[in-house]
Amino acid sequence: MTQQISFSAAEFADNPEPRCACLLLLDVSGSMAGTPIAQLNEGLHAFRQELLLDPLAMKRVEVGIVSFGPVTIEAHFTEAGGFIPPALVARTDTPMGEAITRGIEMVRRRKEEYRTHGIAYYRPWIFLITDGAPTDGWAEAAEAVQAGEETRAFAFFSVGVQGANMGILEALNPHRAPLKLQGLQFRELFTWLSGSLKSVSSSTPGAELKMDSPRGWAVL
Amino acid sequence: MLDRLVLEDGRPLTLGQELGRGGEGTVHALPEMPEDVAKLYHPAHFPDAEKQAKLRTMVQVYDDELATYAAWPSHTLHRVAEGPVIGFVMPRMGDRHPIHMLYAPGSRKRLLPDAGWDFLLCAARNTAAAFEAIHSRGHVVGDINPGNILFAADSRVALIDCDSFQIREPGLTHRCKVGVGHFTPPELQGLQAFDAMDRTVAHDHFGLALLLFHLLFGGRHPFTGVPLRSEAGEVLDTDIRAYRYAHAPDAETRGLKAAAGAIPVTLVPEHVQALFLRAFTEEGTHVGRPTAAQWVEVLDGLRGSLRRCDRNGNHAHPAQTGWCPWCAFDSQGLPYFLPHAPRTRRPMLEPFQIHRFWWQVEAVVPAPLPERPDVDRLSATGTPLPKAGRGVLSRLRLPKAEARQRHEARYEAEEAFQEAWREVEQKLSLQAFQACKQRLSTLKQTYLELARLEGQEAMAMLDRVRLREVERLLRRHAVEDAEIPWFSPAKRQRLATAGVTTAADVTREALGRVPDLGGTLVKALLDWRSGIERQIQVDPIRLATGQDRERLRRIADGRRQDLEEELRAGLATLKELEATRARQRPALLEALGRAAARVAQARADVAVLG
Repeated sequence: MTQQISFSAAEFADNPEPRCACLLLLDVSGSMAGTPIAQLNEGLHAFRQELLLDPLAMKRVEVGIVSFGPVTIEAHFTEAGGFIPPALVARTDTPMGEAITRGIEMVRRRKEEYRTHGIAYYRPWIFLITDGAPTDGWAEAAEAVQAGEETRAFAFFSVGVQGANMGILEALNPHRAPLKLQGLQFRELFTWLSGSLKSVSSSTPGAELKMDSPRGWAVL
Repeated sequence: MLDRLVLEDGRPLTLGQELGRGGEGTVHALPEMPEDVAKLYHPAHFPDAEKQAKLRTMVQVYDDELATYAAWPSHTLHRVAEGPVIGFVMPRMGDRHPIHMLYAPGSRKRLLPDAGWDFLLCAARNTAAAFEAIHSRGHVVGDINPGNILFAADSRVALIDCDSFQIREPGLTHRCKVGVGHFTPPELQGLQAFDAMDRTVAHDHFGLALLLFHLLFGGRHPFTGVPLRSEAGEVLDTDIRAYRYAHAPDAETRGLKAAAGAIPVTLVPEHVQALFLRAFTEEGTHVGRPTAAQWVEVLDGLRGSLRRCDRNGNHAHPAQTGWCPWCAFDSQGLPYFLPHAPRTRRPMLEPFQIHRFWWQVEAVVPAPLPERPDVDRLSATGTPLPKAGRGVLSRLRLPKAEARQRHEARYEAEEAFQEAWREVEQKLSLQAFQACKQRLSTLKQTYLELARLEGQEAMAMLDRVRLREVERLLRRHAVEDAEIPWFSPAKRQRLATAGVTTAADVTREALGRVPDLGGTLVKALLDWRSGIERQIQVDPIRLATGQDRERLRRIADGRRQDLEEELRAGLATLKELEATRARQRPALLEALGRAAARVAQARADVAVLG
C-alpha cells in the first residue's frame, strides 16, 4: 500500500499533541530602524529560549511570523521546538490592513490542517506589534478581526510601540484593548507572551484564556 | 537561608544543594539521606492548616512499596520541632522524564531510538500497576495529567506531585482540588471547581485509560479525530462530555473519526478494544470502567503474545495482526519506529542538562592550599650544651664541634622543610584543577552556543533548499523560448552547443564563454533570467524534506553528544584530581608539620649557642 502522504501527516504523527498557534504580526516599517528592530530581534530570541525550557509547550505551541511592510511571511507555523527566529530588517511602509488579512488567512488554513489531521487545538492567538499607523486601508481587516473574536476563531491582541496610533488599534478590535509598550521592553513582552502561552498550552484545548498581568512591559 | 530543619520526629536534617525550583517551592538534595530529596515551600506558599494535616497523614500512611510507584512524602519538615509543616521529604526520582516524551513518537524516537511497541506496552502496564498501588490503599490520584507521570529508561513509571492526591484516612478525606480538563471524565466535565467534591477511583479509571491509550496508540488523545460535524472537534472538553470517542465502532454518529495517519485501535485484540470502548463511552460512566488491576492483567496477557518483525527488530506488535503494522506505516511515510541500529546511534537516554551538569562541577570544591607554617611561631626549647671536660682542649674543641653540629643540623632541617613545602606546593597545587575547570567552563560556553549555531545551520539549510528549488524552476524555462529581440537562430544554436539551454544555465560566466553574443544580448538574457527569478516564490520551510531535516539533526546530535562526552570526561578528571589531592593531603601535611617542628627545634638548639 503506497499512498501519497503529505509532510504534515508525518509531522502530526510524530507529534499529535493539541496545538496552540501563535501568529506574530510584526511592523518592520522604516521607523523601526536601529535600536527598535534590534530589540525586537533580541526579544524573539528570548521568546524561543523561554519556550524551549518547557518540553510540553515546545510540542504544543506553534509560532508563525508575518512582517510588514511589505507583507512577508517570515515563518510558517512550526512547533516551538523547530522555530528559528528570523533576523528582521526595517524596510518601508506600514501595510497593516493587508498583514492582518493575510495573517487571519494563515491561521484559518492552519486550523483547517489541524482538523484534517485530527489534531485538537487551542484558540489561536494573533499578536500585532506596531509603532505606526496603517498606510493602507484597514476597514476590511478590522471587520475580519471582530468577526474572528465574535466567533471565537482566534484572540487578537495589539501592542503599540512609541509612536503607534493607539486610536486605530482600539478601533481594530473593540473586544480587547490595545496595550502600550513601555520604552523598548520587547524582551519583557516576549517573556510574558511565552509564559502566557505555556500556561494556556498546559490547560485544556478550547478553554477560556487566562493571562498574567502585562505589568513589567506595558504602560498600565 | 534555612539550612537546618527538623523532621516530624524531632531529628535534625541538613538541607543540601538546590536541585530544582517550581512555582510552589524548591527541591533540595539531602546529604544525610542520599536516596531522598526535600521539597521546601516558598514562604508565600506555606501550607495552610488543612494542607499540613494532609501532609502529616500522608507521612503516616507511607510505605516502601508505595515509594516505588510515587514520590510519596516520607517525612514532614519543620523549622522547629513541633512547628508548622513547611515542606516534606520524598524519594528521589533520579533520571526520569514526563510521560508525554515517551508517548509522542517524535520525542520517543529521539530519547529512546530503539524502544519498540513492546517497551510502550510495558510502560502502559507499569502505569496501570502504579494506579493499582494507589487505589488499593484507598487513595485517588485526581489530577491526572501528562506532566505528573514520569518514566525511566527501564520503562518503570512514577507518579509525582502526590501532595495533590485525594488521601483517605479513617473518617476523613483530604481532597484533591485540581484537575486538567482533557483528562477529566465526561460526568465531571463542566464542573466549576474540584474542591467541593470527593473524587472516586471511577474518575481515575477514565484518566488511566486515557494515558494507556496515549501510550499504545502513538500519543493521540482518543477524543480527537477528524470532525464530521461542525460542533465536533472545537473544544476537547465538549467532545469528552459528548462521548465522541473517535475509535468507537459507531464513531461516525458520535461526530469524530480517527485521522488517516493514526494507529487504528484494531492493533490490539478485540477484548482489549472492548475495554477501551467501555472506558470511553456511556457504559463506563453508568456501569463502571475497567479498573487498574484489570488493565494490569490484560496488558500482561498481551505482553505474552507479541511478534517481532523479521525486517526490523524494533517492530514488535500483537501476534493477532498477522502482518507487521509498522512496516505498513513505514511504506506510507509514517515511520512510527526507527530501524533497529543500536550500535550506530547512541541513544539519548538521559537528555543532558547543562545547568544540572554544572551544579555537579560546582559541587567539586577543592581543599585550599595549606598555609606555609610560620616556624618562628612554633615554640621549642633549645637542648642545653653538654658539660665541658676539664682539659683546655676539650673546653675549646667540644663547643666548637657541638656548634658546628648544631649549625649543620639546622641547615639540614631548613633544607628538609623547604623540600617538604615544595612537595606540598607541588602535589596540592590548584593549578591542574583550575586548568581543568577552566577547560570545562570553555566547553560549557560552547555548549550554550549550540542552539544559536544550530539555528544558523538551519537557516543555511533553508537557503540551500531555496536555491535548489529556484534552480529547478529555472530549468523549466528554455532559452529557446525566450522572447528577446536580436536573438538570431544562429546565436540560439551557439548557446545550445555551449550547453546553455535553460534559464538556470544563463549566468554571466557561462555566457562569457560563448563567442560573439554581443553585449546587448548578454544583458537581455540576464534580464530575462532575473525577470523569471523575481516571479518565483519559494517557501523553503515547506519544501525542506524529512531528509534535509534529518541530516541537520544528525550533525547537531553528533556534535552535542561529542561535547557531552567531553564534558563528562572533564568532570571525571576534575573529581579524580581533587580525590588525589585529598588522598595525599594528610600525609603531606603531617610531613610538613614534622619538618617545621624540626626546624624550630634546630633553631632553638642553635640559639642556645649564644
